[in-house]
Parts: sequence; structure tokens; C-alpha cells
Amino acid sequence: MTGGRENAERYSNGRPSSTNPPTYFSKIAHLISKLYPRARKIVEVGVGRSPHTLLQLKSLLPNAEIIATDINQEVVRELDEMGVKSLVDDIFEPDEKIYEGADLIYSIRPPFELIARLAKLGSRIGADVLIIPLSEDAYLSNLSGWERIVENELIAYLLRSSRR
Amino acid sequence: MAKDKSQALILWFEELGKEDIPLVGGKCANLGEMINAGIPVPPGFAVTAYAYKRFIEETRIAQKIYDILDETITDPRNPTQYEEASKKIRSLIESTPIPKDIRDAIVEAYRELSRRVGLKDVYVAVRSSATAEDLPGASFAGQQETFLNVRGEEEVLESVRKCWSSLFTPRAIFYRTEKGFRHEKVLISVAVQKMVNSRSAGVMFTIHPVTGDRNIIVIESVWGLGEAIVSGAVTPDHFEVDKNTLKIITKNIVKKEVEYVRDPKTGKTVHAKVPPERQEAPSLTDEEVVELAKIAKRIEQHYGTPQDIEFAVDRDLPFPQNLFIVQSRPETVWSMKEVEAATSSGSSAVSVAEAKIVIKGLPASPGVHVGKAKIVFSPEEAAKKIQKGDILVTKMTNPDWVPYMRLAGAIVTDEGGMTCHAAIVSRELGIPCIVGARDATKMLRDGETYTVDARSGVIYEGAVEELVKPAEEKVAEVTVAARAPVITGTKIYVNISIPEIADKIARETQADGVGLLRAEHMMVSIGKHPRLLIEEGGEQKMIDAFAEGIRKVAQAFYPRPIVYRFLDFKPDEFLALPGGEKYEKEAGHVGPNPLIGYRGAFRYIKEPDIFRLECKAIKKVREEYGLKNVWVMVPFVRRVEEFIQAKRIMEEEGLIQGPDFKVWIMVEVPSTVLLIDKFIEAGIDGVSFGTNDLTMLILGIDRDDAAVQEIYDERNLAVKRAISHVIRVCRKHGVTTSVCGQAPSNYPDIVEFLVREGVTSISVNPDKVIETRELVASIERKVMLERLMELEERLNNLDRRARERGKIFEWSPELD
Repeated sequence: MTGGRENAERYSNGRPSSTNPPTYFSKIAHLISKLYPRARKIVEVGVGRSPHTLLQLKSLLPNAEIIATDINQEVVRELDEMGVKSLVDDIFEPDEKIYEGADLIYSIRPPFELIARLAKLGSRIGADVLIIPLSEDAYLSNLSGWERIVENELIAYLLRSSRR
Repeated sequence: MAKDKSQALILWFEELGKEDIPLVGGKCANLGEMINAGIPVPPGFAVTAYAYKRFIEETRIAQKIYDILDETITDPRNPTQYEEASKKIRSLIESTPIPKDIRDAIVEAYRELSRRVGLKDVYVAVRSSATAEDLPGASFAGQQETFLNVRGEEEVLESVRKCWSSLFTPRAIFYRTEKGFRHEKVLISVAVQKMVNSRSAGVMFTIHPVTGDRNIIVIESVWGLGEAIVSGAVTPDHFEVDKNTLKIITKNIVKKEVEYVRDPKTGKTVHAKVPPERQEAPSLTDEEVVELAKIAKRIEQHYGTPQDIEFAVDRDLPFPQNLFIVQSRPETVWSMKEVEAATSSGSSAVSVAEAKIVIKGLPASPGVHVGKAKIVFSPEEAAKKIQKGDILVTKMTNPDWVPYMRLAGAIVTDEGGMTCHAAIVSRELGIPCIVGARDATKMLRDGETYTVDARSGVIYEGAVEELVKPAEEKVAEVTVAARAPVITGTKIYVNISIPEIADKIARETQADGVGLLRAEHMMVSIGKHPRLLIEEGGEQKMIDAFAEGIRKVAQAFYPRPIVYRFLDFKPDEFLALPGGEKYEKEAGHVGPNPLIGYRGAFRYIKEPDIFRLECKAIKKVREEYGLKNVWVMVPFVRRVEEFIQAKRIMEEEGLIQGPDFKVWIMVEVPSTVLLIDKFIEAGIDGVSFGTNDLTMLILGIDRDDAAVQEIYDERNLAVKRAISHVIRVCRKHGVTTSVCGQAPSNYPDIVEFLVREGVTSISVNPDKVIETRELVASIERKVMLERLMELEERLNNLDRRARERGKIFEWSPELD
């Protein structure tokens, strides 16, 4: 068996932070709320120590179910304490039930290896996928299907599901 | 009339060839072969196996010997019985007088040898040469006796008889039983050979004895006599030479405090202290290393298989006449088998990060093993303590240890180099082995469990599950690799940013290394702006976290290189880290265009304290874990000065460029293209093209500006010309070229362009490695075919032109 405890450190962003949210995360929350004003379910993958987007999104979209996933149990436990619904999941072996019914799956500056996995997951469950990549990974614009969104100095890539 | 060799008592080396193995044993026959092939060996003669046969028959001790064997050895798995039989037989042989005609023949040959070299009573080496010894497939490292510095008729005779009796050492008896040779079939000849007045001596392999790389010649040498190496008493200097270019690619000079020398008074071999001024000096000059490599190559060509060669450098002669080959035999390990899968008999397990390193040494036979350490100082002690699967820990082994080495699951020695006895035998037995671990017998505790990682030469406390597990999976990996062995001249590397999946990626992709290990995610995992971390005193935390990430990748790919790219966040990306507002924004680092702002090499020299933490992490991985396959790459270099300064900081942190530590730069800014010759002068070992930024900057397209995206294309001629120029200049200067940007992952035509230009390696995302390798293989085949066709066409043209010229001549008379 892989996954579980021994992978707890995997691609996690560590402990959630209490530092003031940089405007960057706020911009992402606004972009999402603008793109998906009527969303019922949104999942952030690999939330790590930066729950700022998620928290703001909750207030911007009070009717949507906002879920966070991370591979690090510690992160998940602390997010739970902050009142954010969060679950442990390994995106390399995702539990699809967590994501079912989501309008959007998004991830902020994920390790590049995760991008293809997210695209695959999105297409399997019929959710759109939004990536806000490191500038180095901005080659998504060259791949078919990804739509480039530039908003408020923010560059994001959106892969729309054919099933929505 | 041709001499009937089969009845001769003495045969001179020059009379011998490999067909004479039955008469004089492999060792003497080889010496004859070598002399006749023009390979420099000291002169001498063989006391034939026929002489030995007559000795044991005429003195009627033959039957007694075989009786002792039958009576004493009743349980072939009991080492003490071998010892008992050996003792009885050897005292029998050594107390039996040699028949007169045999005696006279040996004495006369010795006098003749002294005459030939113009010395009275020449010093000789007397070595046994068993007739089954060097049969391909059975290496008998150091088997039987060698007597050095033998001088005078009586001493020569005495040594010859001792060599005869050495046919019955416990280990020799054991080996014959093990390999199924009948004792009666194995005879012994003795080589008597002029001693080289040895200034330095050593061992060469024409194949890398640990990795099996056939393009490398490994040379190990010490001061004085070569005995010190095989016996493991001294850790030797280590050289590796590229077999094709004959360039020295690795040179590791160690402190050599002891040497074996001939005592001028007694003529005996003694251990002497090396004078301080010679202790850290190389025992071979570069020109001697290269000349020896040439000789080694010649020997390998002569025999047609990889060789294990002993050489000596004569103190009294000038270069190159001072180089002598003392012995050569086929290398047996790699010619017979692949790397053994690791073994374990472990108990409760811990992870590598938690595991404590107890001691480090030189990896001498690859593999990983978990077991109990047994610290033993003699074969007798080993006989009592060693159980199957134990880690045998001792100062150094010799032939008498072999039965216990065979029981061991791993072997660790205080002394020795890659070519010492323990190293050679453990490779043959397929047992993980670490040599030259200095204080292993002191640092390891008897009966405790340890993990021996003989791939990197590290011994950990307890059972390290992480190390053993991938090894168990290796069996499957080998079959996968065996099924589709696509071999390409261009190396295929992989890009990685999550260390935790490195093992899986290494296994599944079979990539030739990591062309880009990204540091940014490690920084994100720490979750703080590095400046904030330093303010909080968290330097060590950063060093440890980075070292841990790099270690995982280096270990997964070992011994393949992994290229770590120093942190290359752009200011806006640093800004998003906690502490970013203060240390990035308020510090004035975030400009209007982060992509061409405060990033890359310039940051390292402006804020060296952060850069030094990364250097320390690299050093930790290379030194504490012994993972010397970690190289580095400096991103976003603009000016030569930045590279020079960054390099200086690395050096201050103990990261010194060398054959196993390469420093690359990324070619992203057009200035690096235009000044590539200057960067080469400044000492770069390699470049890697970052095609994304290079395209952005050559075409003047802001990658973040949607309005100009449609004309962004890495395949633009301007970009290709830049790449082509850099590859050409680098190739001319022996600097490697690689690509780690996205272009090859996205465009097959870029891959073709790069292969045609002669790029050294291409690094792609994990999911693209296999298809890129196949694509590269097909392009390489196509290129080869095209070149052949071109050649053919050129030959045809020449032919046609020649014929046309012929016609003109034919016609010319008519024109008259």
C-alpha cells in the first residue's frame, strides 16, 4: 500500500499560516467568484499552508460548498479547526468521490507534475480545472484545451469540461 | 628442433603463450602472451606444472595429499575442516626435499635471469600460477602465495616450494570444492620474475568494477609495492580515464601514510611510514596515468575481454620505460552477471530522513543490505561469529576469509580501495561491500542492526526501510528495462519538482538522470520567505529540508547525475510566500515585470546568505550521504561576472568544480548566447537551454501579456539560430549542452532539431520521457542513415566524375 501516513509530507505546503493574506490570493478568489457565481461545489487541491483563497471564496460564494484537499494530514486537521471542510487526498491516486459534483477544481502554483493529473481528474468527473501556475509553467497556453485568462495582473489557465 | 615444452622443467616467459596454460598456469602463460604482444612486463621464467607433478610423484607425497583431503573434509560446508586439511598438507610439502635435477634447473634459471638483467643475485618475485586458476569464469583474487623481494638461490628454492604448498590453502581447497574442480586436476606452476624497484604500484580495470561501465579505465595506485592495495592496507589514489579520449576524468588523491617497501638491508618487504611531503602527493603523474591507460587498452584489445591488471612504476628508470605490467587477467564480475538486487533480513524500520549515518566508506560492490554487524579481526573469530546474512566488519580481508565472506550479507572494511581483496571478492560473490570506512570496526557495535547502502557507501543505524524497499522492487524494474532497451546517444533526462515521487519516476521512466531539479516547491513546502526564515533563525531548517529533498532525488537516480537548479522564484512568486509583503514588496524587489526583474543569479550575489544555505544543503547531500551525483545549475544568468561571483561563493562553501561536481548555467538571456565563449572561459561545465525565457527575450514577447501570445513560438528561426550557435561553441570546447524548457515536450520537430545539432541531453517532463527516448532513437537512426546515404552519393559522384574524365580522355584522340 502506498499513500497514507508515509506520504504525509508529500507535496504539501506545510502548516496553514495566519499571516495576512497577500492580495494575490484575494485576486484568485475574486476571479473564481466572477467565473463561477452560481457554483455549488468547488475543490481546492493541495491547499497547504495558504487557505486564504478558500476562506475568501467562502464569503464570496456563501451558497457553494468549498472543500480543500491536501496530502498532509496535519494541514487537514488544522483547516478543520478553522472551520474549513478539508480532506486528505493524494492527487496521484485521487478518491474521486471527494470531487464528484464539483463545478470547479483549482490549484494554486502546483508542482508541475500535478497539472496533468488535475486535468485527468477534471475530465473524469466532469469538472472544470483552473490552474494558477508558476510563471515557468505558463506553457499551458501551448496545450490544446487550456484557455488563458488574464485578469487583474493574474494569469490563470482554465480547462473546461465537455460535460458541463 | 622445437623444444618439447610438455617435458620442460623451466620455460622462459617469452617462450610462452596462452596455449601453455596447462603447462605453466594462467599467470605465467599470460606473462608470455604479454611479452609477445609488446606489453611491458618484467622478465622471468616459469617453473612448470610438470616440475611440480614430478616433485609430488617422485617423492611419493601425491597419494598422501589426496588421502588427507578425503579423510579430513567430510562436511563441505564446515570451514574448520578446510583449515585442518590445509595445515597437514602444507607442512608435508614444505618438509619434503626437491629432487636434485629439478633443484638444479631452478637454480640455473635464476642465475641466467641475474645475468640477463646484469645484476648479481637479482631480486625476484615468486608467485604461484595454478593451472586452473585463471580459467575464464573463476577469479581467484590473490589466491595462493606471492613472495616478493626474494634473493639468492636458497631463498628462491624455498619460495618455490612454499608456492607449491599454497595450492592447498583453506581457501584454495574451498574454491575447488565450490567450483567443482577436482583437486587432482589442478596443478601448480611458479613464476619467478624480476622485481620492479617499485616507486608506485597499483591495479587497473578496463571496465568500471563497480558500475560496469566499459568506457572507463579505473586506476588505483599507492606508493611502494602494490601489495598494499590488494591487501587493503592502504587506501589508494583513484583515477578514472575515458577509454575513448584517454582523458583523465576523475582524480582522487588520498592521504597515504604507509607504504610497503623493500628493506635495503634485509631485502624483505616492510611497512614504512610515508614521509609527510609525499603523503598527499599523487602516486602517479598525469602522464603516467594516461600511458598506463593506453597500455591497459592495448591489453584489453589483445585479449578481447575486460581486464584486471596489476602494474608497477620503477624508481630507477625514466618515463615511459618505468611502467611495468605485473599481471593481467580477465575481469570476471561484469562479464558474468548484472547488478544483484538488494537483500534484507531487516527488523523494525525507519526512514532515511530519520536514519542516523554511522559511518561512510567507498562503495566497492553495489547493493543494499540490512543485517547484524559482526566485528571480527581474524578468520578464526569469523568462524565463531558469522551467521548467514550478517554484516562482516573487519579491518581487511585476505584469501583465508572467503568462506566467511560467502556467509555474510554485506561486508564493511576499515581499509582498502575499489581493487582490494574485499572489494574484488564481494563483487564476485555479489555481496554489497563498503571498503575504506576507516573506523568501522570501532564505530559499529557488535550485534546491532545496520543498513549498508553500498551504492553510495553509507552505513545507517537500524533497518532503513526506504532503502530496502525500492531494491526489492528492482526485480520488476530490471525486467521492464530488459523488455524495451531503447538506447540513445543523446541522453534523456527528466524534470522533477516533487522529490517524493523521484523513486517512482526513476523506476518508471528509466531516465538517464535529472536534467532539472526544481527547488521552488521545496521552498513552498517550508512555507516562508527565506529572508523571514533567516530572521527567525531557521537557517538550519532550510538546509535540512532542501538537503532532504535533494537526497531523495539523488538516491533514486544514483549513480546517474541530477542537476539541481538554484531557487528561481520570480519576485512576484516570492511575494506570495508568508513574509513576502515585507521582504519582497517593501524591500523594493517587485518591479513592473517580474520575469525580467530581481531573479536568478543576480539575487544570489546580492543576497549571498540565502544562496549559501542552498550551497550548504548541496554539500550536505554530497558529503554526508556520499551522493556525489548532485550537480548544480545557475538560472537566469545575465552577465559573466554574476556567474564568476556565484561560483566563488559556491567554492567558499566547499563546492569545488571537478569531475563529479559539474556547474552548469541556464541559457535564457540572449547575453549568454552572445557571450557563450566568455562563459566557457569562466569555467562552465555545461549549459541548459531554458527555451521559455530564451524565446521570450529573443523575440521580445512578454510571456504574461496576452496581446502578443499568438506570435510566441520556440521554433522561431531566431531562437533556433541562438541554440545552434551555443551548441556549436560548446561542442568545440567540450562543454555539455542540455534543454530543460518545455519546447521538446511540446514539439517533436524541436527534438529533431536538437538531436541534429548535437545536443548532449534533453530533459523532459516525466510523462514524456519514454516517448522522447523513442523519438530521439528514431531520429538518431534517421540521421545515421542520411549520413550513410550522403556518403554513398559522394562516392558515386566521385565515381561518375572519374568515369567522365575517362570519357574525355577517350574522346581526346578524336579531337586531335
